[in-house]
Amino acid sequence: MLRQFINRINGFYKKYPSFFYLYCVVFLLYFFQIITKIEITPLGYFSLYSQPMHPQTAYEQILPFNLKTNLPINIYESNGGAFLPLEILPTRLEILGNKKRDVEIENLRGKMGYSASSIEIKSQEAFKKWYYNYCISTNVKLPEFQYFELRKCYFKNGNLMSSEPLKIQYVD
Amino acid sequence: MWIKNIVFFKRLILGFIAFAMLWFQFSGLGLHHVWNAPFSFLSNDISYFLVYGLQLPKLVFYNFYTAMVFDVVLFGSVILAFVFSKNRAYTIFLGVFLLLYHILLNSKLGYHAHHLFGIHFALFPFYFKEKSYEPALYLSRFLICLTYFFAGFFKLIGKGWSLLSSFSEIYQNQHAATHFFYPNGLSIQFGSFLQNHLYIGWMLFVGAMFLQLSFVIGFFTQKWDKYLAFFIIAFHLSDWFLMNLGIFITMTIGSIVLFMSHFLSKNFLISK
Repeated sequence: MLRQFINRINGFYKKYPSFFYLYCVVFLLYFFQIITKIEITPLGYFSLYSQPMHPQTAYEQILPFNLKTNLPINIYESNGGAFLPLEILPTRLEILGNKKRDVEIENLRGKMGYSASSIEIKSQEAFKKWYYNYCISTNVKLPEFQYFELRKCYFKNGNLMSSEPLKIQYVD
Repeated sequence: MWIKNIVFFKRLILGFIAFAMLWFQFSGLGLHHVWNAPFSFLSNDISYFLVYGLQLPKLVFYNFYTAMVFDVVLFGSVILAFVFSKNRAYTIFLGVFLLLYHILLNSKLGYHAHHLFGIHFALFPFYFKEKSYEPALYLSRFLICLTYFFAGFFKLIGKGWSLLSSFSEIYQNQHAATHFFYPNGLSIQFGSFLQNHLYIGWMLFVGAMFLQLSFVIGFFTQKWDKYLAFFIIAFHLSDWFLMNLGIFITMTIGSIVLFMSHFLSKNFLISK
């Protein structure tokens, strides 16, 4: 079987030498990714929730919040699949904004012509304003801006147990 | 004859891409929706460095209108590639714009999402001349099999399967907010069912893992490609229904590559 496999590779190399090298480059790229644990290829995609998840006291999600009614805003009424970016964006703000900044990396990024930081805002308020407008553009029903806030909500069995304002450590 | 089939499959893929692009625009995922998002996420990826190094984000995200022009050109290139499907140049043009869209969208979402890879894999064979079509399609299907196999492999080593209640918890977590907004919805009823029948959830998780692991077969033979294609569709449809992951279209396109590989394998030598 191994001999058959080697013969097939050999035959492939003779018939398509340039493709053979392309295959090698692609496989090296994948191998490089596994070794260095970087994200070039989609390896491991769909492996979300691979780890065992133990029973939780409550399940958290960052949502826009109506301070007038003291209730989260329904982002699932948005157009098509727009609820996904509406879920992702504040979560990414929390992750990137609370990640301690590496000044050396940021300087290097700046020298290479990129934005020095992953987040181009100076305050959490600026993100809130942008997110408010993005919600409007995706057809989410919102209160006036002064009653709008991003909050970390804790749910259990379909009930809102508690909520707290989203806190970003390294942006403000 | 098989060339005619290729044109049919190419148009099928391009039709799906056109639909996906329209759906993305409707879903607030056009670049003109996110052009001023406060992220400039680069991820650990050479393609981001290249795009940022060429200062393309500054050009595309200069204002709302430049981002809108990009979206229009992107959709226009899908139409051109569809109409002139025998001309490779339009397909390559589309491929480049799709890659740019993928990178620019991810950098503005602050998140390295991979689901658009399905489109890149599906379009890859069409960048080549007819004589190189066979190895290009083979590489494409191989990369699809690799993606799904590793997803299953990481599930296996992550040991999510070792806890009976794990999937029920994952389900509660995924639907925490939707259960609040839609207390009488089907998903909350299914969630309660899973809480009372933990082994059903466990079987769903393990079933998905084995479904993904079965893509290892694709490394050795093309004979099972049509089944693997059905597996992709089954996996993404259940992902949509169970996990509410609505943007499944772009990866599901990969199933067309496997159907194509199955139907055209008689003309190919690699599988023999």
